Amino acid sequence: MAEFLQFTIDGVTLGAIYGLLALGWVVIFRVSGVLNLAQGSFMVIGSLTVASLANQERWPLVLAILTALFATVMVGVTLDVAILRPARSGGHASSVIITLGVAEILGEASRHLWGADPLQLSGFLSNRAIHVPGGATVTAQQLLVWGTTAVLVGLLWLLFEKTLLGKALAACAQNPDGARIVGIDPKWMRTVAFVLASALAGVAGVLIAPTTPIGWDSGLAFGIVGFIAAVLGGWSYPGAIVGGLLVGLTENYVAGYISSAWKDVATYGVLLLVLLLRPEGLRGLSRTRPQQKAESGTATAIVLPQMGQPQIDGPAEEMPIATREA
Amino acid sequence: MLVVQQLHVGYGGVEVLHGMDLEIQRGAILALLGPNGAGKTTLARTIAGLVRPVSGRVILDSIDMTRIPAHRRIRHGLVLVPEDKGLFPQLSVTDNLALGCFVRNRHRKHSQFERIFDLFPALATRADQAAGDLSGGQQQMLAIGRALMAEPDFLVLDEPSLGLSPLIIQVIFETIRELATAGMGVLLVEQNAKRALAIADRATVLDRGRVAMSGSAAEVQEDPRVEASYLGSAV
Repeated sequence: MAEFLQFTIDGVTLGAIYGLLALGWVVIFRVSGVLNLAQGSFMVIGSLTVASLANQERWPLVLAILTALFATVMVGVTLDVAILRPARSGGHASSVIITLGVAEILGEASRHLWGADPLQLSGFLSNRAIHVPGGATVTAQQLLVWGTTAVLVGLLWLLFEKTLLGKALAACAQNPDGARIVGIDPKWMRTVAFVLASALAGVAGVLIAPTTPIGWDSGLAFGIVGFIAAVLGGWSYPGAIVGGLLVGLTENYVAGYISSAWKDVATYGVLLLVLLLRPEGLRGLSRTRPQQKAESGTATAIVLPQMGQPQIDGPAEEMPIATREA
Repeated sequence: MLVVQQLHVGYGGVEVLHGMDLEIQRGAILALLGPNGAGKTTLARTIAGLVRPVSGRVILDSIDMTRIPAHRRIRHGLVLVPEDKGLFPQLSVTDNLALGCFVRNRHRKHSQFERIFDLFPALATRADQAAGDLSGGQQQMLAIGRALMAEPDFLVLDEPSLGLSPLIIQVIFETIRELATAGMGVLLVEQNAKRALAIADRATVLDRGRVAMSGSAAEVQEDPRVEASYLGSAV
């Protein structure tokens, strides 16, 4: 029982970090239709920046953290403004290829900057364990992860519920043409989404940095885990956190009770099970609006929610013949 | 004045509009009539910037709008109420209206709210409901109300009567007439020709991408060819 409790505590911690990654996937996809495979690379850059600055360069921790967040946001904004925008990316497929390429480039750049050896941030918070009822322990670091995740989720909720900017982001997701009519520039909304997503990834990177060594080549794998969590959560914001927790718990239970060699198999197994049994993800379990439900039938429909394909580049041509006046 | 000059529009190589010319004065309603497939919606969407023309120009108060992206046209006072209403279904009535003045008129948001709720009291009582949960008529009111939040100089309405009850159509058409009388230019795309002609100053009949007839609303209404070809079946 104590063992189970411990796996759960560790799983929730890892899951919260995955949830932050998944939130980044969801915000970019919902606002712009772009699938950002570089999401995990943002996180790795955050981790490596904070670890190298704090440990090797002896920067004050707070300054190292702020620099790491700034660096990830800069990378995210650059990807959007300098690469996706000129590419006039229209559609899931081209965004996948572009961001996959960017993830590879960011990986190689990280190896150049920080070397081939994984880095782990030390001296972040004391690893002194706090004993909890049931025989398990919680570290201050884990409490920090939980608290930070909760605060970020709260801030995101405030943004989307209480601010006009949040409403404009939602408007882009719900009706791209309607958004353009009222004067919302989808190009800049996508940039805002990239700022949010890369900031979330940067925080995830800082949070995971003290817990495990992070290597330059792990960006894509973390990114895919975030994607899986987003799919499990049915591409909703609360679902992203729930999906992240599910993946984190699955990994820890499988690693704890079976073998850590099997944890990736389990994660992808859960993804396959969900795709086969509940293609709409967990969203169907909560309050669902019918028009949001994914249609099964095509490959993208199974993984991605049905939504209009936003036009990013101003007065673009309409889709061919099919959309002609009825 | 909103001017459309020699507008050619096509999708994937198939031309839908073959050189349209239009002029709408401030304070006047131009009814754009014609059968299904004539290109009315295409014209409305091209004026709004959602479709890029192959050639030709859209000019608003002597500013060439043709290359200006859709999201910037509202700043120049040009707003579309699209056929599908363009609402944000999961946002509340209030939020939809608030986004109507996202870029224009924001400082007057609160007085604008009052004005729209006066115009359409049905919206006031449902201010916190999601737009997607409204009835068709209420959604149309919301779509028009959202467009009015920006206080446009020119309003393009694409089939505002579609699927609505005669009573609601009357409310909406009376509102459109009042807005025009107050100085707004209106392009009213309609299949409901009799009702549109009743409030319009001028009318243009579109057929297979070409102007079939153009004149004052009375002339168009009385023209026997128009009556036979376009109005008879569309009422």
